[in-house]
Order: sequence, then structure tokens, then C-alpha cells
Amino acid sequence: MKSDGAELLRVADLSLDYISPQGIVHALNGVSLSLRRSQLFGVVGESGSGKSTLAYALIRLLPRNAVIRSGEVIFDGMSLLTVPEGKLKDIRGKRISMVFQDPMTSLNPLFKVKDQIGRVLELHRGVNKKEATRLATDFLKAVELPDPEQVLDSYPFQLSGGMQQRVMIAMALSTQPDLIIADEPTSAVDATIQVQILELLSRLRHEHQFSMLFITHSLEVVSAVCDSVGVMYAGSMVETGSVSDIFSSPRHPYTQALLAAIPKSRKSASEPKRLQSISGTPPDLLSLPPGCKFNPRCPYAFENCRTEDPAFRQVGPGHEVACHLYKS
Amino acid sequence: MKMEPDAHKSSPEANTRRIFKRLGRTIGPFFQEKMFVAGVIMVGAMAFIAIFAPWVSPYPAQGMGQTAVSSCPTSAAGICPPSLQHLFGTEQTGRDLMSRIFFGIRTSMMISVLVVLLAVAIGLGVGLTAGYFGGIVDEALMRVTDIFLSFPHLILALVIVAVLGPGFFDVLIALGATWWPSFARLARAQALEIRSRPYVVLAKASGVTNRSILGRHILPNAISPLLVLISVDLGAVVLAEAGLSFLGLGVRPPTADLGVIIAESANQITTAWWYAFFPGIFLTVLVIGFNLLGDSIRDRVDPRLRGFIGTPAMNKLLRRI
Repeated sequence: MKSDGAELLRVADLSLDYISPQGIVHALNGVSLSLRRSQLFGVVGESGSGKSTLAYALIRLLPRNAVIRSGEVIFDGMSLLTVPEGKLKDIRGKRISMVFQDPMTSLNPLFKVKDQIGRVLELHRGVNKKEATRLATDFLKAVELPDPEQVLDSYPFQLSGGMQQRVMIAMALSTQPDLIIADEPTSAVDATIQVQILELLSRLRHEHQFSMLFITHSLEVVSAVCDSVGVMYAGSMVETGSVSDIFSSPRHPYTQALLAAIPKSRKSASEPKRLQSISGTPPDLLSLPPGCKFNPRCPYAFENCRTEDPAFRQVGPGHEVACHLYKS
Repeated sequence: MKMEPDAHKSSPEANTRRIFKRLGRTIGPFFQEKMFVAGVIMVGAMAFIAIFAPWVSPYPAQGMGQTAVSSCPTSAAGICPPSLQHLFGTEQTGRDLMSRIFFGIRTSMMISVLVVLLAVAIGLGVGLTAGYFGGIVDEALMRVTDIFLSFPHLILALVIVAVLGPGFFDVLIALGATWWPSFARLARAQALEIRSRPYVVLAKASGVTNRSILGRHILPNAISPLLVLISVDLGAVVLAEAGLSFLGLGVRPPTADLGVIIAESANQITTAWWYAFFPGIFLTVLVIGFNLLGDSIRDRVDPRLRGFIGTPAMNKLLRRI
């Protein structure tokens, strides 16, 4: 049933605005991406580039002031933006589950872990309490938590951040979803835990056969676990491709600048400090520049960039870039 | 790491011991505060009297108002000063004042607890719904709440009682109807804050129904700040109820009530000091007790509001001057 390589999720030309008292915030501007089964797709971008908005838009969990301007989201043949709310409830949690950034606040402080995972299982897999506890133990074992029984009987505050994030992952896994959307799952834990969590995720992906949309601002994290990457800038996808394509031959000037901005360790203290930043600031989403969103900061910008929004062009197999520098 | 030998044993006794230990850790710090202890003693004593009124009263039947035999023949009006037979003296029909007061405390506490329960139930329902759903639901519910809030408690209660007529249940409805808005506002503020917490968003992302989210996530997490308001309001309702009764709009005279007794005593205030004095004392103790409890709970919940007097911070400041 779950054949590798078949398309699971397709986002086409998704545009979304937030209506705010200051004006219309153009949070997403024609985002497109495609995710195959069992694929781990990383979405990278600065704060405010629309990564999280994209995640919430996929399962239509948007604040009241959000308006979807155009585009479609096709999940396993279903158009998620148009299905009725009632049907969406069966998809949320059951077929698409989420993992959030801050594990400390992602668990209700007043209930034991057992009750929280148990409820998810009761809700989506229709099992009774006893069976739910047994299954929960299995999933806690799957995320490599030592002494699962003890963890089940704990309140969230009795667990460390890393343990809580493992619990969150176990919860996301427990309904055996087709897609897990992870919104910066390793940003709130320290570096060693981050590595463990990333290793866990890549191992689980093979065992449990889920696809994952991995939202992060860290290129290192993407390179460590993802198959493909999409780079976002000011609510637009500027470049997508496999991890090796993006890291070995980045095409978009923004991607190149991002890669150059990764702090590198120096071999000795005498070596000059090199921290490259991207000049200028991200654009105000209230009033985006015409043409390519990156043109005011782009060192290669020419006339065309200031007037015309670049379309995606294929520059290699599965490697696409939205930039006027590359003519197909 | 070395563990105590029976740290993780789950025999029933060990479990019970652990529960008590945990309970002790939670409640223990409260008892280190004089204010809390004083509040507990005051409210506890009043509650004891209220619950066991028929057994602690020297003349239970008279307290109930069922017999009106004058036990003090020396006075024409039946009002006698405190004596060994009647420690607090007697009141206008010759009934034992102590018994009347004890039964009066019973009425006052019962009304105050029921009113606060009613107010919390309505307030939580309205406030959590408004805060969680927001938008038009919020606007509609909160504007209704504002209408209720725009009248002073007692004035609104007076109007409602005037329409319904005085009596136990009418007072209950009148006070309940005027007390819920403050709970609604607090509950709404809580819901507004909690609804954007990640675990609520995650619950939504997991396809949990709104009703379930309200019941399992919003309500349990919104309760603790309400505790303070509940405790302080218990005292305020006692006062309001006594006020209504004093004006003749509360509980009807055959039922003993602190407000009624004080109202009756008003005519004799110059000749019979005990008549107003004793019920007044008990009313004061009851109200102060509830307020002390409320204040000390608030200190726990929000240490920034802790009383300044007697704290090390104040001593430090004094030394500098």
C-alpha cells in the first residue's frame, strides 16, 4: 500500500495573507512543494519567512485573520483546503500529526503522560484504556525512552526536555500517520539531545514509513536528516532540491548567502574571524518589493529582478530555483 | 545513584504514604503562614458551628425558631442580658441569642457557598466559552456580562429580590445572578491565554473536538486563579446576604440569619448591647476568615502581591532608614 516514491503531498502556488490592523501581511506568496511517501523534506528559512504558517496552513489550523488567497493542497488525492471541517478532524492527528518546537509547553501539565498518549490512541485508533496503555508503552520504547512504565506514570514536569520531546514524537507516531509535520522539533533542546533526536527520527522513518515535513532554521539539521530541502524567503519558496544539490551547488543567491553564513570553527585563534552575514534586512511583509523578493539584498540583481517575479526553473534533475539568473 | 530500598515499591501502604507525603509538600508551605492558619481556624470554627448547629446550640429548638417560650420572665419584652442560662442573652421573643446566632451562621454559610458555586458554574461556562471561541461569541457573551457588571452587586440583587420576593431561594438566585460576571471575566482571561498554549494547538492539530479541549485542557488549567476569587467572594457574599436580610429583603424571619438578627437588634441598640454585639462579632470573624484565606492563597499563586509588612524586605528597608 505504502509504495515508495508516490506523491503524498502537493502544495501548489499557495498564497496566504494575514489581515492585521497595520495592513495586509503577505505571509505566503505562491509556495509550491511536493513530498513523496517516506521522504523527509526540510523547509529552511529565517524567522518570518512563512515556514510555520505553511505548516499550519496545510492542516487549516490558522488564526481567524488568515485568508488563503490562492493555491491548493493535495494530500493523498484529497484537497485539504476544501474538505469540510468534519472530515478534516479525521485527518488531523490520524493521518497528519505534528511535533512542536517547545516540548515543555506541548504537554498539558495537569495530566500524566499515560493519559495524554492514551487519549490520542483512544481517539484515533478506537482502543480501550488498557490496550491504549499497552500501545503507549510500545511507542515509548520505540522512541528509546528508558523505563517506559515509569515515564507513562509521570507528569510532564517530571521529565527532562529531551524526554518530553521523545514523548511528543511517540505521540505523533502513535496514530501511525502518513505525514508528520515537525515545526522546529530540535530548536528548544540542547545540542547533544538534538543529535539524539535527529538520529531517532531518521531511524524511525525507516521503521514506521512516514513522510515528514521538517521545518527548521538550521541548515546543519537539514543536511543531517533530510532528503530534500526547500529554501523559503519572504513567504516564497526560492529553491528546492535534494540535500546534495542544495549543499554542493546552491543556485539561488539567497541559498548561497545562507550557506556562507554558517559559522565555521577556526583551526586556531590566530585565524581571522569570519562571519558572513547577508546585507540588508528581510523585507517588510506588509509591503513586499516588486519583482523578486530578494532583489534589494541580492548582489547580482539586474533590471529584470526589480520588475518581474521569477518563476521556478529546472536547473538539474529535481533541482528547481526561482531566479532570473538561470534561463532554462 | 542510590535509591531508597522501597522507593519504587508500589504496595498499597507505600502508595498511601507517598500520596500523603506529596500532599504534605503541596499544602505544607501554606501552614507556615500565620495569615493562612488564622483564616483556616476562623473559617473552620464557623464551619464547625454551621454544620453542627443543632448539637452545639444550648437551645436548638429555639434556634430553629420553632418554640417561642420566653425563658426570661423578668423582662416584658423578653430581652435579657447575658446570664449563665443564656450566655449571649436573649432576643426579642425571649429566644436564646447564642442558638439563634449559631443557626444564623448555618444559613449564611450555606447561602454563601451555594451562591459562589452557582456563580462559578455560570461564570466558568460563559467565560471559558467566550475566551476559547473568541470573535462574535466572545463579543455577545462579554457584552451581556458587562451589563451585569455595570450595576453594583447589592443594587442589582435588590432589584432581583424585589421582583422575586424575599426568601431563601430568591436570595440565592439574586446573589448568584449578580456574582457570576467577575468569574466570567477571570475565566475568559484564562481561556484567552491557555487557548494559544502549544498543547491546546496540538490537541486541535490532533483532531480533538472543541468540547473535549474545553473540558480537558482549558478548564483544569484555568481553575487555580479562580480559587482566590472564590475564597474572597465567599466572604463578600456573606456580607451581601446579611445586608439583604438586614433590609428585610433576604431570608424571612422565622429562619435564623445573622442579618435578620442584627436588623431586629437595631431598635434595642441603646438598651441591649449584646443583641447587636454578638451576631456582629460572628459575622466579622466569618468575613475576615474568608478574606485571610483568599489573601494567603493569592500570595501563593502570585508571590509578587505578597504582603510587605513584616517581610525581610521591609526590615532591610527599615534598617537603611
